[in-house]
Amino acid sequence: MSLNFNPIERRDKVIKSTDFDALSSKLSCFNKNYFSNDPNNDSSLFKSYIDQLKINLPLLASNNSLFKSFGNSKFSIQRLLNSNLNENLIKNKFPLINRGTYIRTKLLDILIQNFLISNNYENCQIISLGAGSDLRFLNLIKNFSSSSPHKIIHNFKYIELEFKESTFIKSFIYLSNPTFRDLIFNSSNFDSSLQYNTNYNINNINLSTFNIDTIQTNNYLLYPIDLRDKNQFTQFIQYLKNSTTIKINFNHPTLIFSELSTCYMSSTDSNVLLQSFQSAFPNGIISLYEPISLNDRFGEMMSNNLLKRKIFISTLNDYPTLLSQIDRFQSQITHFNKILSSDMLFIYNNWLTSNEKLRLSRLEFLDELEEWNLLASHYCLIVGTYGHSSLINTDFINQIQSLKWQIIH
Amino acid sequence: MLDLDICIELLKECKCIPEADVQEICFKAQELLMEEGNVQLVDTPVVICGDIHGQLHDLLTLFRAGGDCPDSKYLFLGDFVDRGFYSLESFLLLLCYKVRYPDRIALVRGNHESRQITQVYGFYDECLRKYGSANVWRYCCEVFDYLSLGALVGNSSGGVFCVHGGLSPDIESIKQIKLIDRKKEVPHEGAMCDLLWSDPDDVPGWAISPRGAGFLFGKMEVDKFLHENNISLIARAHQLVMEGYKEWFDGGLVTVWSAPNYCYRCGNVAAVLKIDDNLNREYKIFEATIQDANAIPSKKPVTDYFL
Ligand SMILES: C[S@@+](CC[C@H](N)C(=O)[O-])C[C@H]1O[C@@H](n2cnc3c(N)ncnc32)[C@H](O)[C@@H]1O
Ligand SMILES: [Mn+2]
Repeated sequence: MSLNFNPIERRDKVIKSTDFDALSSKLSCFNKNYFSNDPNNDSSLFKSYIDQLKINLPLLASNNSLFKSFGNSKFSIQRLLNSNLNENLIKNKFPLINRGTYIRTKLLDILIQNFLISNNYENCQIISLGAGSDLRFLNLIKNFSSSSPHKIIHNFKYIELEFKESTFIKSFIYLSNPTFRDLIFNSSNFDSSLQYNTNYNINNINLSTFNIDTIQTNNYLLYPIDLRDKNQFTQFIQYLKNSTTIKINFNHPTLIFSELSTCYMSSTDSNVLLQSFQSAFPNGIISLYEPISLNDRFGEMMSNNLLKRKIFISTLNDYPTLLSQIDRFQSQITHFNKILSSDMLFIYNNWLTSNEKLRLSRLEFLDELEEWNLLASHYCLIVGTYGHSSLINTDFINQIQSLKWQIIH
Repeated sequence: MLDLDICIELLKECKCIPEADVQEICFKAQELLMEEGNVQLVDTPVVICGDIHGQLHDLLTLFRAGGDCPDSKYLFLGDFVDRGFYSLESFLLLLCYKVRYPDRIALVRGNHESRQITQVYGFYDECLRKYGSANVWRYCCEVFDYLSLGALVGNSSGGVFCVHGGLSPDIESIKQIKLIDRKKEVPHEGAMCDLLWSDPDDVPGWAISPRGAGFLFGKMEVDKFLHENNISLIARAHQLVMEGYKEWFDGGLVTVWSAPNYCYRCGNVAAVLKIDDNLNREYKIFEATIQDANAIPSKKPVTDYFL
């Protein structure tokens, strides 16, 4: 059997499959206990997600020809699962990959926590771009539910945007697993009585007829979209405006973040996307985590090696340094009150307590120091806050300025 | 009967040699190494080489840059194995040369020549993958235990002390190194560990190493060591240098790095250091043979970036 795909389809398959790479690295971190006792990265939630994926995805994919979105043959899903989630194959990930994956997850966790704290957990919104299999939302509700004294959260909303193939997979796993389902639908932490689209018969999820790619509650929206497509973006905003379930308040402080996802779009597409978000959500924070080439030999090899895997990362060379990323925010996206930026190496050195660094060094012996310095300096976090200064939470700025930054603009 | 010349040819072509031959090569190498001191005396002229890390194709380029063995004499400063795809072939090739031309090549132990480290950084898995059992890895580890800890190039005054990592607060003179009982797995601390793990840095005296083993040592310690031992240079490897080599402390120490485009992704060039009869230094720079990580056959999927 041979299927023909045009170059764009082929490129998009690779982009969609990167979620499995991200999962794979995270699985390795969990297995090596990097996240032990980390309330934002619960290992039982993660393990259940992986197990569900391994068990159900092959069947789910063959029923729906979903495999075509990730590879060229019926076996592509099986191959993706095997090469990325086979415990035996991934047990030898190098310590520097584990450390980097840990920091990458941690730095956005820290940013999100700061955002939530500065808003007192209320009247604020988070939008995750290209969320993939990120389980942050589940972790957040789980934490809310276990907090004592019991806390009711008012007007907290979390939106995940992804290609529809990926939201389809995530929907299936979230809806078919009772633990996930309970967290999503039965959390008593939220203010209004819970409503959700009753057309999912969530008590009877069937592999062969499953066709849901959207989940909506008062607090959560998992929504399928190609973020490069302006029309789809307009539809998404319309969907939010029409929705009587999630009831987004466009003026509330909104954190819009991308953890290695906007970098897979062309720079033009991602800049347009971020502009569109700015006009839809006038009080916000945009935060990107992206690779940068630094215009050096390591960056050049990085871009060559990734191209061999047919991965093209536009921002690598379009915005190769922290300064050029800051300049991008200023000139391409527009009026920011404050822009802060650091590379992953700086964040590792400055955001983690010495106790935590000690814990990491005891978990695994990292001999690849020079390589770590190189690799970690080629990834950056950039955060820009914009909007009406009275509405946009000045506490947030104070809060994150107390973290150390390489460049504050 | 073991034919070393045939083994050398096979290894250069990246081919596996029979397990029994590996065992015999390792055994013979061990017998030779056993007789060597903790600090070997090496005559000039000699080509000093840094980390190789299983990059066999680049090792072959290195021999072209420095002159064929045995025409040129070589001193390798360890870290033959781990990370690259051909650790076994690279190490065996060096051992074959050692057995075939014992006086033309000297091998010093690096921190990766250890049972513990090779189980994390690839050599163990490579042996298992290529031979289906850990036997070959075990033979090699036995050899590791007999590798010397350092070398002294040029027996006149003003010679070059060579070591994989660097200095140790427990060691003031080369004589003291000679007293170490080296024939064992690399310990987690102490003089032997430090020699294989330490790094130079701009620190006064000694400082804690971020590697978790060995120490950082500064100019003061280097000057003291040079003076105490009547030598002109410490040549060491252990740290990736984008330019292939880096002199420190007014030329009192040099890092030599011989794995170009390290791990098929760092983009660095490599160097070897030629020391002539007048103890003059000449650096030879060379580039990676294989720029293309995918041209390297490997069953292991490599995602060495964050996606
Ligand atoms: C490397 S994964 C990262 C996933 C997740 N953010 C994480 O860090 O674990 C990149 C994700 O971005 C998504 N993505 C990339 N381009 C996208 C687009 N144009 N529209 C929607 N999702 C996109 C991919 O589908 C993929 O799941
Ligand atoms: Mn080393």
